[in-house]
Amino acid sequence: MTTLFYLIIYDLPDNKAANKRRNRLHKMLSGYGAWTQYSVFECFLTVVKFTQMQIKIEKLIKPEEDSVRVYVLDAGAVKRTITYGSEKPRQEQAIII
Amino acid sequence: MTVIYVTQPEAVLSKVYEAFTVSLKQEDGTWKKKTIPAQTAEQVILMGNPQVTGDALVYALELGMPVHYLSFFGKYLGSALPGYSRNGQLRLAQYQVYNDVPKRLELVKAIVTTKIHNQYNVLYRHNQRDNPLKERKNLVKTQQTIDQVRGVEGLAAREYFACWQNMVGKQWVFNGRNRNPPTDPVNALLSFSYALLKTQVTAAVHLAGLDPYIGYLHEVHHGQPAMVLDLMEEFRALISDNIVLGVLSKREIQPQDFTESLGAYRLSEAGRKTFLTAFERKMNDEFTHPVFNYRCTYRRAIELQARLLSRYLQEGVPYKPLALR
Repeated sequence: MTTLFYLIIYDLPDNKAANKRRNRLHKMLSGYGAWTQYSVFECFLTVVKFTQMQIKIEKLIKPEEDSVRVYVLDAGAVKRTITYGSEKPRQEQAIII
Repeated sequence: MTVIYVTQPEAVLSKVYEAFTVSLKQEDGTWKKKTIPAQTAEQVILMGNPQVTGDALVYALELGMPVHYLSFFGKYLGSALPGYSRNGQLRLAQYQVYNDVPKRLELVKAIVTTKIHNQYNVLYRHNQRDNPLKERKNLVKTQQTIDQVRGVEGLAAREYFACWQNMVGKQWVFNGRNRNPPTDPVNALLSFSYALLKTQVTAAVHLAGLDPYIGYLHEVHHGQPAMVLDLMEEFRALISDNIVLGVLSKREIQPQDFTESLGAYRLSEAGRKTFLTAFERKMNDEFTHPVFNYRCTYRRAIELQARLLSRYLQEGVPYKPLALR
């Protein structure tokens, strides 16, 4: 199955309720991809998995306070990505621990 | 889709909301935690005996992820498999062919012919052109019973492994295939490689909805997943043997990577990781499937063969085991 690269960036305000939401969002996104910067996740997902994630995001956040942005990139765009000080996004085939 | 291998004995795989966490015990007694995305994982393979929490196991099955258990040596122990298909009709067809002697013989011949064909190709690629496997392959056609076919298969296997000493090079000793336990490093690698292959084929057999315990070439007796072993035959040379020869010829694994105890050889931690990487590289290699004419990975090919076999059993679509040049 083909996967696309999804870049998810979130910014939630600093109050007790929002902190809780941010924490929960972080834990949820950890299930889908790699945490590369403080509020940035990079995920390689199939369409089905992305839709599942999208539903979860929509249930979690409050759009009037929070801001979540999702960028969808194809293989060509991922290849042209430039990074300084960290590794380029790469789809892991095996995780060996 | 990723495959998660956990090879450290002192590791705990647990679930934190939608993700897995692996906790590794450090020398100073603290735990180092690592988060793994569970949603994009396809399989979990546990080696040695890492701990898995009940939560994590249930979550893996909920996501449709098989969890395979291997011993420290890489011997296949068993799997926890998700529900998958409960296709009763397919199993009935599978049992019918088991009792249908001519049809069964035809299938067994196809499997053994392809196995020998693939073995011949391994030898051919490694410049061992002087071998009798081609005649053995033709000999299969004329056999009358399944037992005779098994005999030819055994002969071919012995002749095939007799050529191995020349292929593995002087720094390794290989005097034929042995197991339980493997008495030399090359046999240890082969056993490891076959066990890994078995996890993949077991998952494919369950995915297709076949009964793993009813096979055609392998005798049906207590506790032997005959169907898994049958399907494995066409891939042994193609996948496992090629990986072993690959890591040996590239010198990725050296004799000092093995430790011996009581005549049994085992692979070191680092060697095991190297081998798993090579295994994954192979499973994700693409080739053009000779029947379907499209690019697929070896991992996908195993599943395709299981599905093709079930189509053959139910609909009579000809079953062609995977033979590559």
